[in-house]
Amino acid sequence: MKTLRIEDLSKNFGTTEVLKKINLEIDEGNFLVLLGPSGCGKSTLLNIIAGLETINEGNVYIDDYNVSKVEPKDRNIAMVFQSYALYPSMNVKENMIFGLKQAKTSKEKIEEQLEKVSSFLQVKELLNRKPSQLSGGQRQRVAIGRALVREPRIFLFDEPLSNLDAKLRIEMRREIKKLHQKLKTTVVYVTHDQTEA
Amino acid sequence: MQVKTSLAAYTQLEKKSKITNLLLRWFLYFVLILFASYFIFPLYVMIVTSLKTMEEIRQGTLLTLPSGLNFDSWAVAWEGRGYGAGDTFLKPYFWNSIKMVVPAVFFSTFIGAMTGYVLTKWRFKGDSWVFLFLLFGCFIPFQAILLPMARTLGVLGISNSILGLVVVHTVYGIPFTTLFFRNYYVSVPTELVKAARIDGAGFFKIFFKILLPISAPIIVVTVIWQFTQIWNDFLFGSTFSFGEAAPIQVALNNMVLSSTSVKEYNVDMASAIIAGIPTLIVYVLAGKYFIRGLTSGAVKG
Repeated sequence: MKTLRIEDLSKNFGTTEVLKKINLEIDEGNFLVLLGPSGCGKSTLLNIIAGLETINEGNVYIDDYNVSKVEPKDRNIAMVFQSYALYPSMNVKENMIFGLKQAKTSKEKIEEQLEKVSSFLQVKELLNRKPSQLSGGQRQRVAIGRALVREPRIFLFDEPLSNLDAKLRIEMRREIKKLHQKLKTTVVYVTHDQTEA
Repeated sequence: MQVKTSLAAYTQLEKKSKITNLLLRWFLYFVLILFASYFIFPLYVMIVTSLKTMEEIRQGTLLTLPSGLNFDSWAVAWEGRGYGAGDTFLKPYFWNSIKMVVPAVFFSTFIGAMTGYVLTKWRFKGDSWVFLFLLFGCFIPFQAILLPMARTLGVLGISNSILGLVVVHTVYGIPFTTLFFRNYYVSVPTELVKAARIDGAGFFKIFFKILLPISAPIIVVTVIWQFTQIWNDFLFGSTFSFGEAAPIQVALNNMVLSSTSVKEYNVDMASAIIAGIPTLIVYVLAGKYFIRGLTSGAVKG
């Protein structure tokens, strides 16, 4: 069983062909890096895996289950964005549990998950702050936390480090690596930075 | 030696530039005060005249101060003189205007926010055309649509009613409100919407929970804009309503222009000020956010 399998995937915007007959497989717990110059379709591929973009041809399977027409929220994935995309009006805690709340998770379960993830990422003392009161590295951590609480099958990272300065980037890179080793979740990681890959 | 002379020269120069600066500053204030007084002058005349009796108005000049704080003409403007026929006063029309402006501002702002949200975050085929046509709506001269609109209101059975005016103002407000909200939401990263979709929030949830809470500045701008437009509107008000259902600007016009007896300038001035006060209040309450909203661009999360 492959955690993620992509079959003959094609995608075009109007007349421009972005992705053409992509085939791809990832085993459980692997770390896949998509490297390439800007505009070559890596992010599009990621968005397709997440279900945010429609497919013109081909299929996407998660755990051998065809999710090509499944809503993003039901795909059991989580995504970390370049701009972090934290909800500005909510504090860190609300940001992290927003997804669980939408999924009608029980209160106890939400608390439990929040506790686990926030202590794991060391963001416990930040829980009542607004995103605007956080530094870049902290925001990144919260964005990862928001992805973690969902306990997804696959993590999708969309150039998550490109908004950070060089030093923080190295630090966070190491952390993401550690995270992956610890959690053993499948990861798809998009970047245009060769050293990062 | 060398150093000393140059030092003296510097102090000399410094002194000179100080004087020039001072002179320029005085000139600046002079011009500003001149323009400001030119601007405030009509308001001064209005307030002063509204507080005078007719006797005083006839005898004095425009600028003379009233003998005391005499609010009689304000009372007449607001509640009339108490006798029946031909007595127009603002009170009922003021409430007409309130009943018109509140729902019209609310609906046009809300619908504008929705369309702005769709046009930026839920792009669809031909959406730029839709936006173009909406923009076009901003440039339609309102005189051009008076007749078709009158017919439409007639068919709908809401001509000469406050409801009709609410509908007209809402419809013609939408292009502007959409423009405001679209330009604001364009600067909100689309990744926010993507993240929310992955988190399982739907169309309305994303709008109400994520975008609307960060829209305060642009809501304020839109409300001020719409309120001013609708409150001050005379064209639609005078065309689509008369008699009892007229908004305040129409009543003001009737009051000032159709008085059969002597022109009562004090009452006219008081009425004009009363008709202008609500807009003033809105500006004072929300003005702080107005500039901020107009200039605020990126919403960094």
